Amino acid sequence: MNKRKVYPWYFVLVPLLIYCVFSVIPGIMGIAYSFTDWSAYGKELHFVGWKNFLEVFNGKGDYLKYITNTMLFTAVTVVAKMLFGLILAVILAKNIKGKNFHRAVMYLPSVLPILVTGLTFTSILNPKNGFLNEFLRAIGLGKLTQMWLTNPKIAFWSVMGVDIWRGTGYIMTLLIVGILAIPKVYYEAASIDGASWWAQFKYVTMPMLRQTLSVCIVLNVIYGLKIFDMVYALTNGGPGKRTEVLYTAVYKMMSKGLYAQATAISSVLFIFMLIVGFFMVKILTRNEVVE
Amino acid sequence: MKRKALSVLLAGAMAVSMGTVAMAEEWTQDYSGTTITLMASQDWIEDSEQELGAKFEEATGIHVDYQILPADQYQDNLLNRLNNGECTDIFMTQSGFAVDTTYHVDENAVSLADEPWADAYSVFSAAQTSVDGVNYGLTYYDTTTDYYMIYNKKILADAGVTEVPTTFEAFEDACQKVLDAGVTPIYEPVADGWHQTMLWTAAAQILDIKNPGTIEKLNKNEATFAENEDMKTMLEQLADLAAKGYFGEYYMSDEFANAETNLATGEYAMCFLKSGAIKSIVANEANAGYTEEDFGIMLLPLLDNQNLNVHPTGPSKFIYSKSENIEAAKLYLQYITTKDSLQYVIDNASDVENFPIDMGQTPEYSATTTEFLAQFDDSTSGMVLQDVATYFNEQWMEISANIAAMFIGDMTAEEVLQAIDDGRAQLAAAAGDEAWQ
Repeated sequence: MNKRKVYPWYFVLVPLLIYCVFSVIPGIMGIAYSFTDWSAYGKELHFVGWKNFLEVFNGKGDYLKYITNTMLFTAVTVVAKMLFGLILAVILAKNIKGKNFHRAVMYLPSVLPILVTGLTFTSILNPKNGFLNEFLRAIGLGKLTQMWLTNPKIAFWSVMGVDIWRGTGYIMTLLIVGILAIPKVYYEAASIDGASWWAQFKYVTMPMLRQTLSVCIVLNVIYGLKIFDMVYALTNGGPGKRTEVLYTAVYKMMSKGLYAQATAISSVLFIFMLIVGFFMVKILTRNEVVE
Repeated sequence: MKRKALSVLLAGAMAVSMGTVAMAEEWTQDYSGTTITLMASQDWIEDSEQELGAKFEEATGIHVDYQILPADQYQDNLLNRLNNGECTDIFMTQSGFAVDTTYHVDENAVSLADEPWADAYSVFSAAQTSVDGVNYGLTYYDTTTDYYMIYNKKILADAGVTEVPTTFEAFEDACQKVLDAGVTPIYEPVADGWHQTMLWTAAAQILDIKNPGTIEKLNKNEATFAENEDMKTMLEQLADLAAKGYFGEYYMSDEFANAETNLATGEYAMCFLKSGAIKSIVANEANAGYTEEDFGIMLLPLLDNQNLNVHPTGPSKFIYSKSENIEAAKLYLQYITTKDSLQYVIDNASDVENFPIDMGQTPEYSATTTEFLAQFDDSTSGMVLQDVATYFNEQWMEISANIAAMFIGDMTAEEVLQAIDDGRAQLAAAAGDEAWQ
């Protein structure tokens, strides 16, 4: 009886083929190209072994700095988005007045294209005539005005701030769905037992949200490691190279026509993401009960 | 017999007329439905050239599809298209070494040596678009002048600067006086990511003048940028200008597009611009009452340089050898190089004073430009660094980012130069240059 409800295995062949042609095979080819001298300057390819990897990671370039920036971006934005997203989700999951409006407003930045967000914020954060500094001056807080995207000390934090603003609404939405899916009986039982709001949050909401939180964290970590467009649109890696991340560096390497070196960095990042993703899923789901 | 005589007569008449009306026939030949594609980086095509394109379509029926790409993606895109054998009918690139070593125009472009405008094309420009003595390109850009320091005479005079500074020390002294008078000395648009490098390369002809053979050694890989003390000094002088506040508070976010406005308002005293920009500054809506006579031109005296920067290379057009519209593309180049067309661009593009093609057009050099250029001759002129050093121009955006990093203290001048050496080694290796093997 149950067997009839399961689709035949060969139904998966077409999507699998498409996935292989457009994703797996180009990925493998990308890794293979990183062992060649592929560049825009020649038509022939030659095998060069580990040369590209050694050139990239020999410490002479700035790649270690870009890796550090990418890690910092990932760590800060994941923590901040999860924290703010959770706070907003807890508030907006309640039956408060205008909750749908507030949810829509919070979610709105997530549906805007990243490049549009980035370009809009370059205008808002312009030190001379941007909205933020003009606003601060207008309310008498002129001393707080900053060169948000060009002061080397704060540029990267500004980029992260914009990304947090953009991504929090998405996390909030996923967590609201998770919270609303928690059966009310748990809260009623906890309430009867005299549990405070904090105790209910700690012992009911958080454990029941574990799966949703895991998904959000893994998705955000991968997003953070792959970050490109937000940095490109806001600072293009500047001032100097203060906000350069791995994928903006890959892009610039590609722009110089040094394709093999660029694919070498991409390959390393791809493998790194696989490892990080694998361990994160393992850790975040280790106490899950299989029903 | 009568018919034969008539045929010979007609054939003779046709032969005589063919030569004289060849050009007219080309304009009137029916190319309706033909579209030629032209690929260029942003800012390489003047609006007035696109207007010429519309007139060209009216005259010939050939539509010109201008494909303008962002500057930081252009080189990669062009190389990809050339390597894949799918380039536009006309492609543009900076002339110079790279047309041979990187873009292989001897394979990828058709010879333009016999075109009607070839004899009028500057030999200096032709040298930069040629490979093995054969010209493949047309530099359609005002290479007759370069970027110089445009300054506001009134502001400098009011600040107590009585003479045009000719040494770096005097220049810094002038900047300090201007700053003390409440005006920001130099508008330096670092945000665009390309302008700051020009401050250095436009003065770098002094290197070979001080130490002949410097550039040749660099190109033979017998010397490096990092070990050149003069280059280090020049970069440190630039960093000093930034550190002393002569670029103003917001230079990291200042954009090139606002340069003329900021000079027109008198908010800034100087900017490194094409000499033709004076006309645009005066015509700017924000002009605080300045006239063309209120602006002067000087060299930026890094390393006390007083030799004129000559820059014969510039955005140049090449006809793709695998194009199916070679004749139509040649016709377009013929059209934009007629006397009337050249004059049209000179009259309508604010920063174009002339072209390196002499078809009898009237240049629009201002009195200031003429007076400035008259101070120099061949012995006091030299080509800019990107025109003489190999594997340099290809790194322009990265060098600019590194110079910006130097301004904010993230890199030293030596590290900037070392990064150039590393980049040159990478590019030379990719190009299979024997000097780097």
